Amino acid sequence: MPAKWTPGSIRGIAFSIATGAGLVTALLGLATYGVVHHEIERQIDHRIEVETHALLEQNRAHGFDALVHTINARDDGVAFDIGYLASIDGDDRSMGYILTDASGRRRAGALRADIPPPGWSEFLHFRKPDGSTGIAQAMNSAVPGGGRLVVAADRAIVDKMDLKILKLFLLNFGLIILVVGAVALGFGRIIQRRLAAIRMSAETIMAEDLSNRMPVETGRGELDRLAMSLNAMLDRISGLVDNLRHMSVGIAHDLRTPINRLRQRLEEAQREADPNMQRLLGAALEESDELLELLTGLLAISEVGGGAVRKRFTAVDLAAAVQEMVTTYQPPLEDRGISLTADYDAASVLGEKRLLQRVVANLLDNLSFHTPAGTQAHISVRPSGDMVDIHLTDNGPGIPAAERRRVFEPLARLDRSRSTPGHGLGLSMVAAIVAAHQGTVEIMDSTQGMTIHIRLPRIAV
Amino acid sequence: MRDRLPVKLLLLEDDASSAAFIERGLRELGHQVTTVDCGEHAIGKITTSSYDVLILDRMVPGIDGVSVLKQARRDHCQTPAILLTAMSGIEDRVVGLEAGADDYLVKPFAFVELIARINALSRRPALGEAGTQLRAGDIEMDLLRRTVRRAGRIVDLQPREFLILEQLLRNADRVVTRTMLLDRVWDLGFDPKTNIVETHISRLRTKLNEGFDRDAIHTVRGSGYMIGGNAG
Repeated sequence: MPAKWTPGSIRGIAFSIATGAGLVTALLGLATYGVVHHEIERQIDHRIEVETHALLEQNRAHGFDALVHTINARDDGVAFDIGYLASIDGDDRSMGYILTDASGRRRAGALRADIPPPGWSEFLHFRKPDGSTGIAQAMNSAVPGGGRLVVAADRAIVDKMDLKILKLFLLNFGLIILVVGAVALGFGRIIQRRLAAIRMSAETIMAEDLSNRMPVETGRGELDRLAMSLNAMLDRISGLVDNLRHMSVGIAHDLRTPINRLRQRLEEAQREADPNMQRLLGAALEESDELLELLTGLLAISEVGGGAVRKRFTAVDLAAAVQEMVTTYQPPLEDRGISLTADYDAASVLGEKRLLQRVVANLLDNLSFHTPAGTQAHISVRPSGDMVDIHLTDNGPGIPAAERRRVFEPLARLDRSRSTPGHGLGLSMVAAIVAAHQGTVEIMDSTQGMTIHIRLPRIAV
Repeated sequence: MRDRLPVKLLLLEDDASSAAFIERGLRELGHQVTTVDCGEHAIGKITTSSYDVLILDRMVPGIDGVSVLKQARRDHCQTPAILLTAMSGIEDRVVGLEAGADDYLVKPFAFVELIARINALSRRPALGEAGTQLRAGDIEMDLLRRTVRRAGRIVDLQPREFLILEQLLRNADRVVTRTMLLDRVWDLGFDPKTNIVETHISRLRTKLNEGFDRDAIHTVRGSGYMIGGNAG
């Protein structure tokens, strides 16, 4: 796998930008340092050259003694200004001299240093008047007519400049890292917020409603264009899903007519058949009824899922609606050896009573068919904040945790319940109805068996 | 099933096979059936002739069954009407009943179901005739006091059992199907998997029969339940 160089997170991008900016600043600083350092050295060299030239000119015009005199005068501080270097330097003693005659004897110059070899010396050690040592740039030239002239300039100014540049650079570097880092982080924060909004929308769309769309702020800019592309993709997906839904509903719908005719023929045939044949035809009728029931169930789920039912929603006394179902189911459950107890707190929801009762009925059907005799169940209706909870707890065999989401899908049946009646539409009907009521349904563990927890938005009455 | 007076019916059904099936079945029972296959014809028939019961399919070409019914009710036609639908029945029932249907049947249905409903409607007493007492054989029901007696003896019933008995008494000598009870007693609009009707009927029967030899409620195999008005 090739190494991944592009950062994957906003933090990573901010870090990279700050590092990049720091690197560029460092390179610029280094270049500046190099140029300035070189320029100062060149200035010093130039100063030494000019000074040497002037002194040798003095010697040529006025003789060796005049030269001695001039150098002594220079050392005594009667210095003339040598341009900006002197002012940066601020030190009159930045220039030092040594003058020897033809015999090599020192004749003038206060520079306390050994005589350097002829020509340029970059690092000439000397002793300052206060006793400390310094390093000077020096040129040793021959004095026409004998003797050597050494003109030296203190290198302290170079070090001082270097230090100043370093300080300036460090300040700049820190400032740039700080500013670039802050800008990158702030920029990242903005992008992060937008991306988080898109991610949240995506999650909502996946979890709830395929008709939701990503937020688009101005319609311009890359993030809005991304959101718009995602929205276009969602349009396409929901179009396909709608097609699929319409097609399956269409198939279910279209199948009902021929199966209905088949059923009618069977029924007619049964009326005229002999008793033995009647029994066979009766069994065939039951099969066709089963098939029709399955198709009706699929159509009903799709109708509830379509959301048109919401138009008829009114305030429903949920406690009363559940209680009606409980009293309806208690006798048949009792006959199967299953005990169902209940408690209700008053709570109302916006919905359709028959649909809500169908939810309870489907759950109690499941209780009736999928739990053994001796099972104890309890159903409760309880307001909680602005929601109302329905809990149906039983101590039956329960549903394995891995299967709990799947049982709400249409036609999903657990392997062990293949032999019991039903098409596996009961819980998907529950899920569809609960979703149409803007509620949630989940299956949870209970101390023994399981709990089905339905949560619906509550309304004040 | 006991002898019925021939009933004059109008059937609006565009599916020829279904129409023929219903027509044949009703003719066998001695009923008179006029079949039309579109809403316009149905309105024409309703305004020119009189019928005992209208059977209207919701989904027909042109003017649909609900619109035909609304039109008929606007024209002060009080003929009892049954709406047929092939839809999932979640939304339809309410729309149908609001349009003025007296009963509602989701396709596919067993023929006995249709017959039971036609019988219930063709004998339904006109509005206002309903008294506060219902009686069939030795069973009496007081609708105001909510009491039931069999041969003078008080029978203590749960509210739901009372409603079931009320339906049976209102349709004495006629079959009340399981689906009719689900619609009228529970108002469910769907068919629960659990045999709630059978269980509640069984409890009601036990209470009614306590201390009597003769079974108060007849189970009509493959159709439903019935209380005899004249017997006993």
